[in-house]
Amino acid sequence: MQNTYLSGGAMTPFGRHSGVMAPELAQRAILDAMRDAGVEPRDIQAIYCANVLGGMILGQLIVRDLDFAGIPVYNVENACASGATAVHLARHALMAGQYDTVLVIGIEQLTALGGGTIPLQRNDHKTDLYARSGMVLPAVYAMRGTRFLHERGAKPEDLAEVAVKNRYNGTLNPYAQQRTPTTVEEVLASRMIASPLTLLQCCPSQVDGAAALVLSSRKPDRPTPVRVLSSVVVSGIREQADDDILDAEITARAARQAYEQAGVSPSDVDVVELHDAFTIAELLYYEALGLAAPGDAVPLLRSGATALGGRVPVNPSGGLLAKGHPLGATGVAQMVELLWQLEGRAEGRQVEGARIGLTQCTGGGIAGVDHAASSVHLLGV
Amino acid sequence: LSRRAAATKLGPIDSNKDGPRTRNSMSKETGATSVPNKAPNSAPHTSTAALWSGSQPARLLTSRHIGTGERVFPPVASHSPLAAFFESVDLSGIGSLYSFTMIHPSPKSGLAPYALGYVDFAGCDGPVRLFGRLHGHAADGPRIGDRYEAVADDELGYTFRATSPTTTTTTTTTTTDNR
Repeated sequence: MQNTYLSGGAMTPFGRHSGVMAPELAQRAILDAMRDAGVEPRDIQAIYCANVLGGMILGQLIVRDLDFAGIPVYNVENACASGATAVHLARHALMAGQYDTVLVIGIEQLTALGGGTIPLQRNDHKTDLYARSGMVLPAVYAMRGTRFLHERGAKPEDLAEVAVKNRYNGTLNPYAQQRTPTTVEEVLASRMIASPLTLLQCCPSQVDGAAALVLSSRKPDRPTPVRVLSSVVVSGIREQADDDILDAEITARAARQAYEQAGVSPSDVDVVELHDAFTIAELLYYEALGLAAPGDAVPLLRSGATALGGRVPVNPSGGLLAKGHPLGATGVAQMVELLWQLEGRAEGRQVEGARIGLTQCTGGGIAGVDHAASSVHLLGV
Repeated sequence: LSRRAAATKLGPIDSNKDGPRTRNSMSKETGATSVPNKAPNSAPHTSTAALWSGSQPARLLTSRHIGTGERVFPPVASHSPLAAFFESVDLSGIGSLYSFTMIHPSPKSGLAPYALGYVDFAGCDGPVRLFGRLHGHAADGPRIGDRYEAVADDELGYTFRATSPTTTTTTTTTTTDNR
């Protein structure tokens, strides 16, 4: 099978980029990624641009003033999984031999929207009706949190520990928006948003950022070429009356397929970047990704296995909780982080000897499915 | 195996053999209402009257798939191309609270906290889980397993009112909608 390599990658710091428009923000990541890969515009044959809320034909807007000479630009939207979906589609084209080198961009500018919870898109009767009663994504995750505390005998402190871990990692990452450490007490004392989730358990919504990757079927001339071992995108299945909301079914399904494609098992994974939009999500995804047996998420966290220096560090970048979550950029940025980790250049937060990494992002608020889309990638050297 | 369990256990190929997918939608669509909606791509609001049966007492309506027995809410719209696969079934009885959250709106909004939850309804017509606003619970908040019934609400269409014995109750919070 044709290999897909990450020839180079880059991202902007995630944070408030006031007054910066989409082209300037994304071009910075693009130029840095191409420099990292050692390619020129003439080497790129197609561009995949992931974005959610930035408007039509954003990719073409971003590259208008670069020298790509009219190559195809595909604009990709899959909510929070947009960036990962763009990588997935780019890989399809490389595997089919349509192109041999492509550029993937993820970009989002949320500060321009004024902050707060992003409302559900109300173009469906069920979503409209549920949104009217108050359904937003924090509420969906919060109800998982309530049920988790109820079923697992877990405590709010267990949720808070996820924020403490990831915000600590963020202090080590110059690309993260939140760079101050926090404590369990501070997390629990922060303003309640949707019980049991307090403010510091929710990823920042006032954030802009861009990330870019050069993908190629040509093996890059690098000491430890990083390749895509597997790439999966799946969609949510309509909820049933007896669904277990702690099951994270869509992500478990994506992960199972990704492990199978790659021929690796969860115990082979050295480092993980997962979709910790809220603290409860990280605990549920430990189990969905097979890092912990069902019911063992809290013991895994408490053991320190997922902290930097542990057996399988999760979100060494700080994750969405510390890095911020510019929707379209997130999936690409997760893979940029793993590129750095697997090449041994994640300065200050390096997972020593990491050879296999996993990224996971899940997103999209539609009433009646747990999430619209989930994507899991396994990368390896 | 349920359709979802089949997808989980058998993988992506077999999961596609479950026949035509159905979608949920409501039975009537109206144009403008007085409810403000600043969401991008906002759709016209759905009539809340179409959610309830004309019987006495009025019952919240669900649809049940004629082939599989799966119940969906809100009821499938009469103009839906899927309508022929569904029959209308009243929601009756008392449901059990599966999970919930108390939403605390930004202090700047001036809105009071309110409760949201999933309520599971069982019974001979088949199980169905509904999401909605909760009220009438104990002052210290809802608890998983509390019992709720659906009641009409002019603005939201329906809410769930606690029927569990409680010593002190909150007042309805439907006027503090989070928009």
